[in-house]
Amino acid sequence: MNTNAHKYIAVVFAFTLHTNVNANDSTSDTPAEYTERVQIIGHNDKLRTEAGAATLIGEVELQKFKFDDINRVLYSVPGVNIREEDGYGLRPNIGFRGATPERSKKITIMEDGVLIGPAPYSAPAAYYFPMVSKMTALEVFKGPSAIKYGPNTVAGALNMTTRQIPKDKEGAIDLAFGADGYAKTKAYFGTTNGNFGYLIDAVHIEADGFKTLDGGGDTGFDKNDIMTKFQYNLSNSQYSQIVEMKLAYANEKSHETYLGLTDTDFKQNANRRYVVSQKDLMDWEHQQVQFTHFIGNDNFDITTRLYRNDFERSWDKIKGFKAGAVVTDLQNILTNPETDANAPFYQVLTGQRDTEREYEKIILGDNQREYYSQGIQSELYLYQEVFDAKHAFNIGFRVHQDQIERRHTTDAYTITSGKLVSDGSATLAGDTNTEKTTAISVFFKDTMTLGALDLTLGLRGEFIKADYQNDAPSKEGEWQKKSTDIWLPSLSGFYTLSEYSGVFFGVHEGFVPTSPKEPTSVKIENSINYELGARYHDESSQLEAVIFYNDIENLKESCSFSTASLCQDNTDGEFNSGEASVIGLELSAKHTYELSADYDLPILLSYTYTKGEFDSAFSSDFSMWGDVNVGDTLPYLPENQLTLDIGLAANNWQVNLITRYIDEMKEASGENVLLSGVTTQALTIVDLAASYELGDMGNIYFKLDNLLDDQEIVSRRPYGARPSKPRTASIGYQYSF
Amino acid sequence: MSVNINHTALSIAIVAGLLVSACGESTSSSSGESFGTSLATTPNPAPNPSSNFNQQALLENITDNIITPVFEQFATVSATQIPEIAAYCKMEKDIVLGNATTEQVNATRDNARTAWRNTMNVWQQAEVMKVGPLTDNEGLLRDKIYSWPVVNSCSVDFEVVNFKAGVVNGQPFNIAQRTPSRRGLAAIEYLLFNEQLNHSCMTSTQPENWDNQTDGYRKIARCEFALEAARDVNNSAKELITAWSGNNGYASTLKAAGSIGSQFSTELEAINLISDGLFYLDTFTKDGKLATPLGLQANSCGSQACPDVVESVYAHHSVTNIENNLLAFQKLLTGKTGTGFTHYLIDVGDPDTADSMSTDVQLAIDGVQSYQNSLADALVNNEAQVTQTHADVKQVTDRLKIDFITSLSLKLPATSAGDND
Repeated sequence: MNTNAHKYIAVVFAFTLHTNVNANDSTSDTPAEYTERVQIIGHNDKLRTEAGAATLIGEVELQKFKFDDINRVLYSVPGVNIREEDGYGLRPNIGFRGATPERSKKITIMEDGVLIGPAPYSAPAAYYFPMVSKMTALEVFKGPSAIKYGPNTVAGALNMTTRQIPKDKEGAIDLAFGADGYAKTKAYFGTTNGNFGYLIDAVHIEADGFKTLDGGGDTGFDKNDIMTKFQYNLSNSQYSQIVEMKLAYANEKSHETYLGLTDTDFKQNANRRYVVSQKDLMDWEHQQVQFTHFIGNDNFDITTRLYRNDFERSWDKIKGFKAGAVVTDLQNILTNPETDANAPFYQVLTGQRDTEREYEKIILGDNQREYYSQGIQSELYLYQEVFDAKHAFNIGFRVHQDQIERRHTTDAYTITSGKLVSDGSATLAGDTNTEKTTAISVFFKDTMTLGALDLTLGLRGEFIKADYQNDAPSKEGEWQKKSTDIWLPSLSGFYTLSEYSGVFFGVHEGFVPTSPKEPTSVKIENSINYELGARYHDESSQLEAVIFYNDIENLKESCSFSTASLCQDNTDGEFNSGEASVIGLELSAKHTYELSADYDLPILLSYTYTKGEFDSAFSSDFSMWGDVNVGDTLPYLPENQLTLDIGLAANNWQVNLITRYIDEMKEASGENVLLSGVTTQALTIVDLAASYELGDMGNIYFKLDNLLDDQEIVSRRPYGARPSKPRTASIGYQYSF
Repeated sequence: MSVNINHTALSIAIVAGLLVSACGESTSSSSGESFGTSLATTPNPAPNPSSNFNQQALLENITDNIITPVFEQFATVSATQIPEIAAYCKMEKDIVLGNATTEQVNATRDNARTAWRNTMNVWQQAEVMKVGPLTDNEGLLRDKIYSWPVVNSCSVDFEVVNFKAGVVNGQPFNIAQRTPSRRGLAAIEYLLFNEQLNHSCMTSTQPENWDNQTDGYRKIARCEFALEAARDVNNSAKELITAWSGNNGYASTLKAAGSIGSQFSTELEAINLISDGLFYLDTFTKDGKLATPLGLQANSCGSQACPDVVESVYAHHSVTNIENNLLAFQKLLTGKTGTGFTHYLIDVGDPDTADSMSTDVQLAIDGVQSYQNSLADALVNNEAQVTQTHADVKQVTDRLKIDFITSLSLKLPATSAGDND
């Protein structure tokens, strides 16, 4: 690669931040429309005229920092709110525009345009999240642009694009090693011979973990992902036509825990883990089969996908203490560890004292679950002139079915001589039930071009049939069949002011269905969401500002161990609050300064202001709410977030520095719950990445996550204070051909 | 163009109309007979047409004739305790001044101890009646009166010093703001019955200079804090009466169950709360007071008989406590002279459970009343007797958890569900 090429890449690095990246242009042999049906946001360098906030993070951008952690990737997207948990992003909590980030359950998560959550309707908590390292693009849709993607439309949608089959023989290998036993091996190879193309893409990531378990033990993880794609091009002179099969397998074993620390212990050593969590283990497997058919020409195209995802997990972890004459919960103990009531429990948790009472026994809960998600979806793009106006119709449907089968069990342990030892009692059954949903979705979008105005009308229909069955012995009579139908309209427009600028607006209805288990007394979440924005795009600068307002008629949350809620016998049970509203400003700006013929300085600034508050007073048992007054703000929603990304690119090297600031966040909204009045700490994280090109020999790179080694309490959930990742260095080598 | 504009306007109007009209959401469901977690929707068990039982009578009898008298009696005996302890304190001061004899001190101390026992006897009956104000705020009022098994003699030692100083953490000492394990009947037991005058703290922080004080100083200090704690217990008893009685009290709320405007949409919901209280016999009496010292459940002696972990370590009142738990359970079960749960069981066609539970609880009472020594002594010298008591109580609680709950369509309390019994 000559120096001009390096310079070109550097410029691309600067210009393609977030938008307009077509990483596949140079490699794909498939029609451009097909690529766009997988990766949705447009690829050209022109002003984007779709209404609605949508952000693309392309492969070049993803390669800049090579993050394995989705949280670190999404922090630079305005309007995203995140609650960190394990420091590695293994089970992320992502929300958009104030939607609760808990297990990303309120956003619609897709891979290659297909729902990828384990059971998006029946149990939307995304305990499976695709490996970010294998993605070549990420797309975030908010506002009315999200109406096309359901079932959840209150917040938005996240689509992750895997590597496409290359036109010519192409492959790469990426090896990295770092602190805390971090190692990454990533490789892919693909080619197209005539009409047949294939790709194999594999990633392995492992780490020993940055936490230190009292008494020793593993706190790390081991993840694998292998994906293959096979494609056949049936195109002729009239139509482009592609069929593709995608097969993927992934697994993870992570010695993670829901147990954090007391604030005092956190101050002494943020990376400590109590001995009682020594057996905690998440162990899952995920399989995916997907068939895609694409046919189209200049006037229309149809993309049809048939998919099946299977996910099986065992999540064995400390659940709490055995209930008895004294009933307490871990969050209470870690919040007030010194009271006479809690001190004995704290001493057991930390191994300072042996279990001396039945109610001081540790309960480990293995939440074994099997999920599947399958369906067929098809969408049509049709370009017609109707009544003298250009129309771009986009019509689609999806027949989807998913299921979660819970087979939870618990085992009792004692702390004996500082070790976790089984008490020999039999394993007890916990939640034993099945939730299943069959949903038909349809959507219709019509974008009319009326002079300078592009006006889009949208309508989404969700027709959900949900079944719940308690599978425990003698509980055959505990079942429910529920159907929910809803139409969700949207209206948006983009008015082009000039070649470089325009303004847009949008309004759409937000919706989150209830789970099959919930009685009809628990209402769906319903909102009307508004946005107003302006966009500027020229050769060196891009600017987008959006004001949004979400008027939520009925906010809904659900109980889970990850929210540190005592769910009793109602795991994943749901709560209604009442009216709430979220108002915010999203601002993103980028510009590239050409310092000289050899050096460029790309800068990205992303700022989000969000204020979400309840508009009605209520009392709730939900641990993040409590006794709420009008005006109380929503939990885990930072008021201000700022990301500044500065790079320096030369012919054969580049350095990038990204700085993120996240305001403190409330751990609970109202009064009289355990974490009332408690906030996370404001956090500033700086990450550094540098790479050096070795000509034909590939390139080497160096990364330093959390340069300042600043660790704050990012959350006190599920149980106790937990840190962000400490300073972690890694070095890697990439070779591609 | 006009057609175009009309077309656009029509489309916008449709969308705007849909937005304003909340977009036609509809939900419907059907469910199995036992679906739903609320007792509000649980059908009542089929009644016996020839029976004159009714749920309202059960609620009225249990509240008015069983629970209310116990709570009121507790307010009385806890008040009686105050002057008895005050008299003992005065005598401890007098003896230091040479104005009293050891016999006089012992006599007043015994009177104070008797007053505590009388108070505890009533409270142990109230323990089986934990409903409403005694379960609110995670049982805070109950814990303020009696926090067992969360007890901490070292903390009480600190409180004695704090009370003597009149200051804690730079603020005037106020027992009402102290945590439950530092006050209540368990603290008074330690203060009145513990013969060891040195502090009991094994921790790194200990009450300063306590062990260096004279015996008289320490006895007076402990007695004065016992007096303060007794006043506090009586205040809590009054708080309980206030919350329980009167037109707006919880007793009225229970009795109004099923009526329009009641917080309980059915009588069965209120009955289930009283049923939850009965499970004290399972969790506390059977497990905490018997299985734990027997070593059937975890204890600090390595799961063997362990006299140090009985309920009443200092006053050796454990057996009487168990007896009072059983007596209270019996009253609630049989309704004494009025309508009780046995009548309800008969009404729903389960006289076997009514009879067997009545018999079993009487057997357990008889067994407990046959103890000649303290529970701690029995654990050392006659473990079989304690094992038998445990078996007797378990016989009752096993039926409670299965037959009783099933026949009356009640729900188990969350803390009792899924145990290893």
